[in-house]
Amino acid sequence: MKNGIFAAINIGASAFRMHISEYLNGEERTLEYLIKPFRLGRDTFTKGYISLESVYAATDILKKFKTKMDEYGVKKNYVAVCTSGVREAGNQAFFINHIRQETGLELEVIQPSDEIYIKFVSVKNDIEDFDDYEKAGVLLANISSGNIAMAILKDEQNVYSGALPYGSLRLRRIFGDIPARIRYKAYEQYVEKMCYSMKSALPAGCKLKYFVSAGSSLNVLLNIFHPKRNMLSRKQLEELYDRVKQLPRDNIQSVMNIRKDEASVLVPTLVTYLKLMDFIGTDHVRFSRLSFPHMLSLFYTKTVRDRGFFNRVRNTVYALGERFNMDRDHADTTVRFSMKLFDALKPLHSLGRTEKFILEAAAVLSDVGYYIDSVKHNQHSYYLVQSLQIPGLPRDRVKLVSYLVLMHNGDVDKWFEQKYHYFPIEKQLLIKKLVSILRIADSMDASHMNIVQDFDVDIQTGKVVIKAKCRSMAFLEKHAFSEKSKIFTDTFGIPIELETRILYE
Amino acid sequence: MASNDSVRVAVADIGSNSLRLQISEVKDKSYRVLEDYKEMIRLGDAIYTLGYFPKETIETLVDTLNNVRRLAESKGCRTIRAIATAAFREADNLGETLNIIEQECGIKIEVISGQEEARLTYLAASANFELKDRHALITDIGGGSAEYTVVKNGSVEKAKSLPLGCNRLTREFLEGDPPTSAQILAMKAHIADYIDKMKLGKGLEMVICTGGSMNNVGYICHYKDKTLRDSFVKYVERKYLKKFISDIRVKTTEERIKIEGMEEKRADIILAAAVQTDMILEETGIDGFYTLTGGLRAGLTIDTINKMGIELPFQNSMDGVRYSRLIEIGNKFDFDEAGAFQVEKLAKMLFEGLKDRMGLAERDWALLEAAALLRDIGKHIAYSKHHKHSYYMIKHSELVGYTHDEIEAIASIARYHRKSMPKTAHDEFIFLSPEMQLRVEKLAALLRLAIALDRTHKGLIDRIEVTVTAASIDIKPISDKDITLEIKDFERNRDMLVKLLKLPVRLV
Repeated sequence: MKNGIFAAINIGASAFRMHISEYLNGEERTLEYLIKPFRLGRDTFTKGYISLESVYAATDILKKFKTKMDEYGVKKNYVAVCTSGVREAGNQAFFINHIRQETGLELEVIQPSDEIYIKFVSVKNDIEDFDDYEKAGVLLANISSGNIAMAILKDEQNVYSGALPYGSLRLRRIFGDIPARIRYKAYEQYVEKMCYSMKSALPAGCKLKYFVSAGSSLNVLLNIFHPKRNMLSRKQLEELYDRVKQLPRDNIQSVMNIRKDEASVLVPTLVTYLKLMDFIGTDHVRFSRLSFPHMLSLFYTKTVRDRGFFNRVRNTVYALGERFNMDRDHADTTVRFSMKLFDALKPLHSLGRTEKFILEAAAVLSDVGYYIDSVKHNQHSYYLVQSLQIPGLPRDRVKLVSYLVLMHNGDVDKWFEQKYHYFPIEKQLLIKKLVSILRIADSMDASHMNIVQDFDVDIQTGKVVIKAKCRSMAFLEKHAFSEKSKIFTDTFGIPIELETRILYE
Repeated sequence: MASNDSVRVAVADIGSNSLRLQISEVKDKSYRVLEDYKEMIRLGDAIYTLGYFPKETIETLVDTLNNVRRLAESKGCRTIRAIATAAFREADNLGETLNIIEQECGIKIEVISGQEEARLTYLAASANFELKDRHALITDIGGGSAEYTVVKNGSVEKAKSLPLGCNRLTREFLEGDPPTSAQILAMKAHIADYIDKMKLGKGLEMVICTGGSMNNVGYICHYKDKTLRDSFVKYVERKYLKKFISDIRVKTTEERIKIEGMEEKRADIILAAAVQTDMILEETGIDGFYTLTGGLRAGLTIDTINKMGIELPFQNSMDGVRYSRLIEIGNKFDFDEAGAFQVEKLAKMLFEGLKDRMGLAERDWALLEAAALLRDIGKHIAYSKHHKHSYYMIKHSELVGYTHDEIEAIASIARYHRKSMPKTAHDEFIFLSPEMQLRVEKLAALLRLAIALDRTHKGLIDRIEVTVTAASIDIKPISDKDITLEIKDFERNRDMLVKLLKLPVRLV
């Protein structure tokens, strides 16, 4: 960001926080950090909405934050994000509108996947060895009051991401009526269930090595342990757990000398940490000391960047293909041909790097639907791609990939006539350009036998000629090419032909 | 490519009308079809006029087989098991043709007898229909011959290969385009001779047709319903068949081709198959017939898997075809088998205890059972929204022994096993009939409770006792373990049942 002052507000389920930073020549300096404990999630997680009383109380807090922003002269340079406490409330629209009218602040509700992505990027930039963790297998867990959002990375790919409703305040609410003496057992069972869910969603045999934590749950542990290094050990946590697990909240508060709201979530927080350590098989939890608003500030001002984003997404796309038994050789060939066609046809399509990447992802995933059923496999591929969740990959790009795999065979015009006629003309054109290239590439390995070894593209006046070098007669390829190339002509206004030559002939 | 713990098999069925390739992946005790490829080669055109394969027909065969061999190899299959039926059996130059094909394509074709054809067709039918306690006729009306298999109580009572293939009948009798009434009558008299000798009688309960032409009739019948027309199994009422015959018998081949769903290369021969089937229904007094897609080649795939020493669950007859397919689908998507069985067990106890009070029929258990077993298969896609993924996967998984509407209902019950209750705002729910909507709500309510009672996934509850009184429903879990979480989750999930029964539901 340009030089100036930036405010980041986080409206969480258990507290409101604001971080004010000054940015000067690319350097960030914290000016002020405010925290106001307020359990907005208590209403949401029990009643499903934010009570009017809480709306008014939240408004008062945010008015004070606004005053502080005015003192620093912050007008538009701010971001105010709401997490699960507002996201899951039935009356979130009323809440946001009321805050806007009373304070002038524009609130943004972010999804768990966005939340974990912001934390991922911040932690990646804050923890020195994080790149090594990504290779060896790391669970990044954002353990907050409402949810636990998690990203699991291994071999530089995102093998799992999701948000599960196991936040510490939520657990406290669910089991509030069980006597404190035995409540910890319910927490243990419940969090075990969460680990079971995660395990069932991971690829078989996926081993992890590191556990990195972020989220509001860390604060209470830091207040108790004051660790010098950014790490806590299992022994520390187990000893603390044994001391407090059967104590009522007030006793915990006095024994540990912490706030009341911290005391009430300490036991579920410890259960979560210990169970996740068991799940990974590690004796340590690492963390970043950056607060969430601080992370928001660094992220929204683009002070931190996601290094290796494209590579990670690419690896994740291939991993998804493997999960659904893709024909790796055919996928590699289709990718190679698509990329070569994309580059060679640039004078015709004028598309950029992002679109090329979308084409690559579609080339990898176009046949994954076979795993569900060979009949209408393109529609199943579309469904599977639509379910793809990669932190940081915008939803509209995932959707573009899904349209390409849907139309990689069958009648493209039919889809636009029957289903996607409402798309803006520019979007239709983009899809048609990419799908034309994908279908040509796919047809040139129709037999899945790598018969076409390589090709040259010759853009002539009035036609495009693909000059393919083949190992043997490409019967299926020629047949598929003639069926699939019509959309190319309709889109670019120029016919495309396939000439084959058998190598060494 | 095939994963390490799976193997791929390719089978080809060379019929008188078409050559069909099926590539499947065998994993554990289940298999799934990866590729179905069809080429209409119409060998019968030559055989039933010349009596041998002319040079150009052999060339077509060689080209086609080379293509399917490449396709099979590209999918990781090392060999193709290819069988040929009536057209080959009757070719004067059979030996020469087989030699050429082996030399040019490296494929050794097994020419199978009509009896073997009938056995393979039965294998496929038994994988898709509960035939254990049924008296059924399975017909496979091919181009050259028609295989009739009578099944009684799960075993083959008699099997006959008759020279009643539709290509053959068309060549011999239906010369006109459209055929004359006299030509059709002559054909019917010819067919009647054979049917009489079969002595089918009135004791049969169902007719299953597996040949391509009758499958095409099923496809045309259900053409307007996109989901149903692509399903493996379809039911066609006799009254539709009669109307279909009276409609096409006066049409030329060109006019028939214009019928929605008609396969162009079957338009001339489909009448012979339709008439023959109608005569069977007349003889047996049955009101309609089932079609089964991929009969012979599916049987061939199963037979090939059996030859590898693998017996599929439905052949292990203790559980029946319907149930075995549920387990096969669960395995395909790596379900937690022990967890699925525990929830199924608890669901059964709840169902038995509450079915009368809830107005549920015995058949409803089959729906709840399937949903209890398959509710979590969506996790294979992603944990997030897995109930919705389960819905999609169940809907597209070719369950056996259920009607199309029942499969929709099972998918919906699985979809509502967690998160939102059924709402009319949900597309998948609104498309169910009002009667089915209510069944889904009731069964989903029971499923939610069964899942809650195994919340820890540890099978802590041995059994449950249900007591229905005028004032409440009391459910007593029997367990000597700590079931705190189960109790808690039960309390969180009983609202749906309370709403439906308008009675308190208590855990005692």
